[in-house]
Amino acid sequence: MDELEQLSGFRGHVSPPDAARVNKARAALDRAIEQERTRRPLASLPGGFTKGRLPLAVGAAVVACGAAAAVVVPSLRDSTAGAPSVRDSAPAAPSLRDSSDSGSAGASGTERIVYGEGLVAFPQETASNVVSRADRVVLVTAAAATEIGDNAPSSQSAAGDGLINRKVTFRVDRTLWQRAGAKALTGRFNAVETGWVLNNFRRSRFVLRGSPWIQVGSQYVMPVAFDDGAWQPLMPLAVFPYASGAVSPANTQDTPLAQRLSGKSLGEVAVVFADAASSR
Amino acid sequence: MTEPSDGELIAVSRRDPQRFGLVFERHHADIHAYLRRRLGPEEADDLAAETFVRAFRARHRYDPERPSAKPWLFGIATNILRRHWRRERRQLRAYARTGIDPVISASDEIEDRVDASDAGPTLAGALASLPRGEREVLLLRAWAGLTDSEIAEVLGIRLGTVHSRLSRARRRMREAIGASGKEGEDSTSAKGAGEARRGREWTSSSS
Repeated sequence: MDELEQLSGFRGHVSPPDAARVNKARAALDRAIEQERTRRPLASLPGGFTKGRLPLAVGAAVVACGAAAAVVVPSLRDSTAGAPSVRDSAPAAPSLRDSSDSGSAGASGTERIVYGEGLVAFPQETASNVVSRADRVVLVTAAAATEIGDNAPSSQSAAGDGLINRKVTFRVDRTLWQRAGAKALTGRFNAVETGWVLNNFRRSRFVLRGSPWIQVGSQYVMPVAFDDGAWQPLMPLAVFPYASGAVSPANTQDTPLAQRLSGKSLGEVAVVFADAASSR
Repeated sequence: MTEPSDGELIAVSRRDPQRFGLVFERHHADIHAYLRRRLGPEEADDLAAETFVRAFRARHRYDPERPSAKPWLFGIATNILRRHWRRERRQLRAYARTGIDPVISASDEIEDRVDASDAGPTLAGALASLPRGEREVLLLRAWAGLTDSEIAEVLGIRLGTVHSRLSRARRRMREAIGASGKEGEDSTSAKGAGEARRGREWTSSSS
């Protein structure tokens, strides 16, 4: 009998754990599952997008997003090459091509991205969807951004978990489409955008799946609406990066609108929305 | 109808967390049995539960293309065990010294209190004398039934390192068991002073 055979009998007769032991472990897992389910802020808050305003959605996340990394993180992609164990479940996303990367060389190129899921209260998937609610579709440049701060409850902040949003200043470069009688829009407006999620003190970019990371210095085609006395981005799933003369959707953007606008010039984008408005 | 792989279940569980329960059902018994043999039933209850909670919370980092989660789960369990390696070594030394296995003694099931092998104290002493890395490889093979490539995955080491550690561990075990056997031929006492002396000899060379 060799040593491995002898070892296999060492402390042998290990019977399967009885039901009480299994139930104890299962209860611990169920608590973790329940904890995640109840803390999932964007998905659990029907008001998250019900008014169609990203700031409200993010605001809702701010309130509830203390354990954001564990909560709003159904999928996580590591943008670092050579990390095959960190994979996204999204089938058509073999590599990270978020617009943020194109505009941010250096350290940000290896920053992890955490995708959040949220309920959308109204469709944002077609040009018709956009023109039914937006007041304008504009080309903007993200001119500046400041962190709003860790919005997690103090206990979770102490544990290194939380969510940091950003106040982003957008400069309006061009109007591509406007509703008849829409209020004038020039200059700049501010909006709350997602920023980073903290998990065990590790910072990762936090992006709503289906929308791009807003990178300072980059341009975006963005539906906006005048609401509560201010211009605000509308429909986060209908915001698209614009670079090198063409719309370039982020890798998680695969709506019919994203496919239709992909590669289009600004003139062509304007036609798409004008056609959608005229056919309503 | 083909059952979904662990990888598929874990991928789905990112959106439907309850589905992770199936991964638990598939692997809890194996993880628990391994931990139980390493540290005893009470510790195994807690550490197995911790293993699955940690796995659940880290499931977004799991590569869904890896069909079996077994190496991943054993890797988490092994990491947790690292907190307890001194305790494990103390238990093994005590077993070698006294002939009474503290792990089995703690069992609440009568049949478990009888070790399958008369060579238990000898093996315990030999195990206690192994460097930690070699002991991990050896026990993942002997108790968890993992393949060499799975062990490499669990421990995050190269396959060649698994081979060399396993080879060294087996050689040390053989030498310890062989030395014990020779000594046993000269002694009628299976346990007692001779065991205690052997225990000290083994532990004096432990890492």
